[in-house]
Amino acid sequence: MVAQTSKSNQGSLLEKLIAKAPVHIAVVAISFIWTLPTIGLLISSFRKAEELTQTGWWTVFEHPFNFTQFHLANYADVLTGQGMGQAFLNSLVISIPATVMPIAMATFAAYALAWMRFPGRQLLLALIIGLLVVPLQMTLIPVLRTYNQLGLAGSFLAVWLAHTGYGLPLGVYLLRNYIGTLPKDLIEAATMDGASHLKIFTRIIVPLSTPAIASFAVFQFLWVWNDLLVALVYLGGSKEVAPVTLVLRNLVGDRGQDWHLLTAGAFISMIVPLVVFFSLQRYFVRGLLAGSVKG
Amino acid sequence: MQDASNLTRILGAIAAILFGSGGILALFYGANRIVNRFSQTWRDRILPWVYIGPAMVMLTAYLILPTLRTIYLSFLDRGSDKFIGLKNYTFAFTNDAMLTAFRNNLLWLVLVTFISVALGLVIAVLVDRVKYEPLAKGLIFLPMAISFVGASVIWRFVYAYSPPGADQIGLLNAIAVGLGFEPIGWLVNKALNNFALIAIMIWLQTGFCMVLLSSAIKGIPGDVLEAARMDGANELQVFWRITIPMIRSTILVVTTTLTVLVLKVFDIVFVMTGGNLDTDVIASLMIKQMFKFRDFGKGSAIAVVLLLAVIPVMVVNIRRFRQQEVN
Amino acid sequence: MATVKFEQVQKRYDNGFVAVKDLNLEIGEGEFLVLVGPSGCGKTTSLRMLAGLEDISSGNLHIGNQRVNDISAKDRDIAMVFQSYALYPHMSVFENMAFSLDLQGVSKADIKTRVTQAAAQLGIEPLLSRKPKQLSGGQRQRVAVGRAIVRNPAVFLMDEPLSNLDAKLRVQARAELSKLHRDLGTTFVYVTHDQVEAMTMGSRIAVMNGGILQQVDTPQNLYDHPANVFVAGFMGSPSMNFFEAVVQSTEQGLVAQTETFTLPLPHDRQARYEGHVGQQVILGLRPEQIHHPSYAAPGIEPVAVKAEVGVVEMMGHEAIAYFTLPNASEFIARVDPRAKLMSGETLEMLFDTQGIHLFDKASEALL
Repeated sequence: MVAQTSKSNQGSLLEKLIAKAPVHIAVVAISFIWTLPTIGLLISSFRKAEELTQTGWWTVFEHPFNFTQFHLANYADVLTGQGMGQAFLNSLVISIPATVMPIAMATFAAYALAWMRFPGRQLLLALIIGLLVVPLQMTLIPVLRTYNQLGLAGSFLAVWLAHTGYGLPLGVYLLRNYIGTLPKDLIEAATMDGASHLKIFTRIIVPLSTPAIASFAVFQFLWVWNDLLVALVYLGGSKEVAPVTLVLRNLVGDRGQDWHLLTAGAFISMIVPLVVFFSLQRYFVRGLLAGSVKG
Repeated sequence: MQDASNLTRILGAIAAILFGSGGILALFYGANRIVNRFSQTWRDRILPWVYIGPAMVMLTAYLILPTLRTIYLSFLDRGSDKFIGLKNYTFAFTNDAMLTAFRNNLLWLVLVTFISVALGLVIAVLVDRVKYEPLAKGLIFLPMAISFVGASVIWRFVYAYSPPGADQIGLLNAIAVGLGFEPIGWLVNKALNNFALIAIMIWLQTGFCMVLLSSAIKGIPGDVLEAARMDGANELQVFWRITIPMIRSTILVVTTTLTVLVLKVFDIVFVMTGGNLDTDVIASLMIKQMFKFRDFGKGSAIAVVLLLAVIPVMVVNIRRFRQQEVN
Repeated sequence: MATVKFEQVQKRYDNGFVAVKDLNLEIGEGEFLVLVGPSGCGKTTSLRMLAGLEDISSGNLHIGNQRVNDISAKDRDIAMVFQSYALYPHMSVFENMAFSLDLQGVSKADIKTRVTQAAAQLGIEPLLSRKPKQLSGGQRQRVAVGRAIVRNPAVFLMDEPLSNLDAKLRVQARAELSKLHRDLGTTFVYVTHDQVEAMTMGSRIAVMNGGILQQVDTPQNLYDHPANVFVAGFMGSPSMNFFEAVVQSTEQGLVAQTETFTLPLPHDRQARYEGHVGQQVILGLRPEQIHHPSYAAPGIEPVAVKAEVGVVEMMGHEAIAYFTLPNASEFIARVDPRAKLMSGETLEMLFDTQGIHLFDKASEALL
C-alpha cells in the first residue's frame, strides 16, 4: 500500500517533469540568451588582442583548459594606459557623496512630508511626483550656463550637487511612502516619551526606515555610477575628473576596433554595479517596486 | 606624483563625504537648535520648513528654475540674445533630422514598451513555476545594473562585423554566416540599425518588467486563483481573466516608467552610432544641438518637446498618487 | 500624582465636526477614572487632548495646578499605554522601557535600576533583552505598561490597552491593572468601549456619547441610577429593556401603563413621579429584574406579565431568554438555568417593580 503510493507519486513526478519540460526549456533558453552577451564580453576581456580580432570568443571552448589563451594584459593596459584606473577612482569620488547627500536631504524632507502638519503639504508632494519624470534634458542648458558663470563646470562639486538635485524627487517620494506607513502610534508614543521631532527622527524614523533608505541608496548609487549624461555635460572632456562611463565612451570613439581595450574597460566599469547588484539585489528590487516611476 | 594626486583625491573624497553627510546633518541640527528657541507654536510652524528646506532648495535650483528657464530659452536664438518667437519650434517639428528622430522615438516607444512588458510578463509567469527561479531572475535582471555605455560596448561586440570570408568575431554575424548568409552590418544597414539599438534597450529593461510583474503576480491571493479554478477556468483563462486584470495597475506603472525612460534615452544612440545613419532620437539630437551646433535655442526647444511628451505620464502619476492618498 | 480638570473643553476639527463638546470633568488624585462609550463618542479624543496629542479647540485643561493647553506632550509628565502598544520594534524591551528616561538624561545606572524595578513589578524581567517581535500579546501589553510606569508620571493614560488580548488574558490583565493602580496610587485615566472593563476597574466611570459627557459616577451608582436612557442602555449586558409607557394615577397609587401591561410604581417614589401623571415616559427594567415564576428571588415586588418565549441562550450559569409581548415588542430576561424554557411557550414572567426606571420620553433624562 505504502510502496504503491510512493510509486504512483514517482510516476506523477515524472509526468510533471515531462509536462513542465517546455517551461524549463523556455526559462533556461531565455536565461542563457540574456547572459550570453555579457559572458562574451567577460571572456573576451581576457583574450589576447590579436586573437580577439581573428576568432570569435566562443572558440576558447575548443580548448577550455588551455589557460595560455588568457591573460590580464588588457586590464593592465586599460587601467594605466587608457586612464581607466583614474576614472575608476573618479567614479567613486563622484558616486559616494552624490548618494549620501540626497539621502540625508530626502529623509528629512520625507519625514516632514509624512508626519508634520503644515500648509501646502499635499501640493508639495504633487510637485515632487511631477518632478519625478521631468527629463534631465530640460535642465542641462541653464544649469551648465550657471556653472560656467560660477566656474563650477568641470568640478566634482558640480556633479555632486546636480546628482543630488536630480535624485531628490525619487528619494523623497520613495522615503515618504515608506515613512508614511510607519504606525502613527509609534510616533505618538515617542512624543509621549518626551522625544522632540529631531529625536523621533534620529531614534525612531531612521532606524525603522533603513530598508527604504538602503533601497534608495542602491538606486541612487547605481544611477550615478552608470550616468553618462550628467558627467558629459557638467564635467566636459577633462581626464582629471572623468568617470568610467565617460572614459569608456571615449574609448569607443577613439579606439572603436581595439576590442581588447573595450571589453576590459567595459568590464571595469561594470564591476562595481555588479557587486552592488548581487550583494544588495533585495534592496534594489524593493526600491524598484516602491519607486518605479522615475525614468 | 600620480600616487600623490590620487592620495589627495582620496582625501578629497573623504572630505566630500564628510561635507556631504556631516555638513547636511550639522545644518539640520543647527537649524533645529535655533528653532528650539522659539515658542511651541512657532516651533511647530517653522520646523517642517527646516526639514524640507534643503530638499526644496535643491529641487528649485536644479529642476524647477532650470525647467522654466529652458522654456524661456526655447523662444530665443542660438546665443539666447534675441527673441525669435516659435522659430525653434518650427524647426523642431519640420526639420528632416527631427522628423526622423520623431519616427525613431515612436519606434523605440512602441517596440521597447510592448516587447519588454510582454516578454517580462511571460518570463514572470514561467519562472514562477521553476525551482531555480531566483537564479533565472537574477540572470535576466542583471543587465539593469549595467550602464547604457557598458551595454553599448557589450552589444557593439555582439553586432561586430567582419568582411565576408573573414572569421566573424561578432556573435550575431557568426550565427548568420553559420546559417549560410552574408554577414550583416547591423549598425550600418539603415533598415536594421534602429532595431539593433532598440534590442539593447529591450535586453536592459525586460528584467525590470519581469521583476515588477512577477511581484505583482505573486501578490495575487492564492484563493482567488483557486476560486477561479473551482469555477472551471483552465490555466489560460485564469491568466487572461484573473491574473492580467489583477495586475493591470502594475502593467500601467511599468509601461509609463518605460515610456519616460525611452523618451529620455540618449546614451545608447550616442555611444553606438553617434546618431548617424538615421538613428538619432529626440534626446540625442538635443545634445547635438547643444554641443555640436552650440544652438541653445533649438536645444531648449527640443528639450521642451521631450517635456511635453512626458506630461501625460506626469498627469497619470499625480492622479494615481491622489487616489492613493484618498484611500 | 495629580488631579486632572477639564473645563468646558471642546474639540472641533477643521471640517467643522465637533468630537468633544463642553467637557467638564474633574479627576481626583489617585483616582482610576474610566472613560467609556461607543466608538466615535469622543472618549479617545478626550484622552488624546489630555495626552497632548490633539490640540484643544477651546476651554481649559489642567493637570495639577497647571493649565496645560499650550504645553507639549513631553512636558506634561504623563505616560500613555496605546491600544496597539506602540512598542519600538527596533529596540529591545529594556531599550523600550529606557527610552523616555534616556531622553530625559537620566544616568545609565539609574535607568538600569528603574527599568529592572518596573520589570520586576510586572514580572517581565526575563524578557528584557528580547525584541517586541519575540513577545506574545500579553507580554507586549505588560511591556507597554512597563514603559509607562518607569517614568513614574503624574497621570497614566490608557487607550483600550486590553482590546488586543484574548478573552481569558483580558480578565487576568484587568485584575493586574487594578492591582497596579492600588500599588502605585497614581491617577489613571482609562479609555474603553467595554462596559465590563469600566465596571470592574474604575473607581469612577465617565460615560460619553456623541461627544457629550453623559454621567460620571461610581460603577454601582451608574448602574443603579443611570441619568438617562443612553447610560441605562449602555451599562449592563444584556442591555436594559425599555417600554413606552404612560404614568397614570389609580386608586392604588401611580402606575406606569404600557400597551400590554401595567406596573405599579414603587411606594417610595410615588411623590417623585407625582408631577408626571398623564405624561409619556420610557420605562426601563434590567433583564435580571425579570424573573421566572418558579425561580423568583426573595424580597421582590413582582407583577406577572404574560409573554411568549423566543430564543434562549444557555450560558451555563444563567440563561438569557428573549420574550415577545402580545403587541410584538420584545424584552430580555436573565433567568435561572434550571428553568427549562421552551421556545414558543407562553409564560407569566415576574417583573420586579422595585427595579423600575422612568425616563422622560422627549429628553430621555431620568425622572
